[in-house]
Amino acid sequence: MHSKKGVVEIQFNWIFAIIAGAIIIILFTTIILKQKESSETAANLMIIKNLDVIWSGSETTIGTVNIIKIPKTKIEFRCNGYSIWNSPKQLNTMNVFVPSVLDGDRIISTTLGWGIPYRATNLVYLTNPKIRYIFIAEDDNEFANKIYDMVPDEIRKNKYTSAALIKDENDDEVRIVFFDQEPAVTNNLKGIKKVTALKIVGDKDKGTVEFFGLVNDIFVSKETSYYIKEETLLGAIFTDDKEIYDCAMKSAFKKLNIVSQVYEGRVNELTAIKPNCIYGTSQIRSILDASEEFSKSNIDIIDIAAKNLEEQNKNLQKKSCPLIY
Amino acid sequence: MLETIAVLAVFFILLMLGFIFYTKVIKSGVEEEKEENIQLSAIKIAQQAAALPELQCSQNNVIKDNCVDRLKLEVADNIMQSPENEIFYYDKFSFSKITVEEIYPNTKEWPLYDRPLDDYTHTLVTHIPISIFNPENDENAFGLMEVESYLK
Repeated sequence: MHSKKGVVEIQFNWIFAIIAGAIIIILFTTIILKQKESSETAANLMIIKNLDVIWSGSETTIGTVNIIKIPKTKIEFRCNGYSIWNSPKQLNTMNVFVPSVLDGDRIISTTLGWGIPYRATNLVYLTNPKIRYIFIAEDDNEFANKIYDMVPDEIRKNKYTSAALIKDENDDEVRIVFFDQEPAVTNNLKGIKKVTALKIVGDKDKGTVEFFGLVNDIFVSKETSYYIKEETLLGAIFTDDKEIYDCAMKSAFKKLNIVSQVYEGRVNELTAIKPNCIYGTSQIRSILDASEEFSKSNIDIIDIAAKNLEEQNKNLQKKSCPLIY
Repeated sequence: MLETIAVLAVFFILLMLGFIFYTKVIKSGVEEEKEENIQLSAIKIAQQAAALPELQCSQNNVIKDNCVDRLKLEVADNIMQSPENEIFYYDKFSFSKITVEEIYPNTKEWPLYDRPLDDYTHTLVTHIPISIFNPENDENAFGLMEVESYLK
């Protein structure tokens, strides 16, 4: 038989071990949870830092294509900002054309210079290797062929003459670009998780882009916007959201406005120091005024002024005068 | 009973020592990363400043690297510092000061952007050698673009 003291001691030992064990488990669980939280935050911050580096690095190097490996994550873009889980990042200006959601562990970035006619800014395009870009145009459509060739080979792309010919490649996301055709859904597209479409009507200088989303297996038009020069058309191909596209266009227009102010001042200086050469600021002034707001009528004005300015630059070259740009 | 308490006390002391050591290691890593971020951000600003179309030389839209057009410089300083363009450039250059300086054959300075941080602790200065092209006489001068980042 155990003594009464011995029984109490054994019971106390058990209670003590349970309490101590519980404290140790709680302590380690807290440490693990905190560590998990802080590593998630660190990973998000690393992606934000990487994106900043991609943005700024790409902005300064035209024509390069980079495939950047990032921790697997979902980045949601909106006008002038993006968020990774619950870490939002605000941008005052956004000259990046990007799909509304980038999900995965790789980002493809490419950059093109945008000049109308003088270079105003470099446009950055971001996408994901999972997204497949499909171009639907007639074989002899040179404009469509050129735009297709502008999309880097590192990005998954195909060209067909009709949507019915699209081969199923078990895609997660497909963006279909229709040139001068109404977007049509065919049975071979119905199993794909996300399908968006863009209808392009225009030429290399300017035109309209209509954004479509898939609702109940039918392409429904969201809204229409405009492009000026092939570089911004490429932006509409990469961006599946009209709001993001317009936002990037407004930012590009703002930059065009600032650069035009510089060129106007430069031409005034040239007029004063080179009286034998014929300069004029009327075309630059037109671009300057029209770049105040991104709209179809302003695109038309800029397009005409840019063509006149190109002609003016050629004439100055013939007369061995300093060029405008 | 006393033995169990002693074992637990030693265990918790070791755990605490381990935790303190771990925190110190993490803290020094964070400091290193902070320093790296500061330097990255300064380089980013310098890169962007050197590639501004507002300043770059071009001939028929062909850009010359590391070259600044003197006529553009003369007008860009006012435009870049005007209140309506302030936010646009702040997004690019944050708290920094950008100056272009002609060193040879003449000396002249063009302040392009200056947004100091009130309570900055130190600055990181990047110098980029550039040529300053004068379209009036087709001559180049030697200069420096100085990008000073304010840090807290």
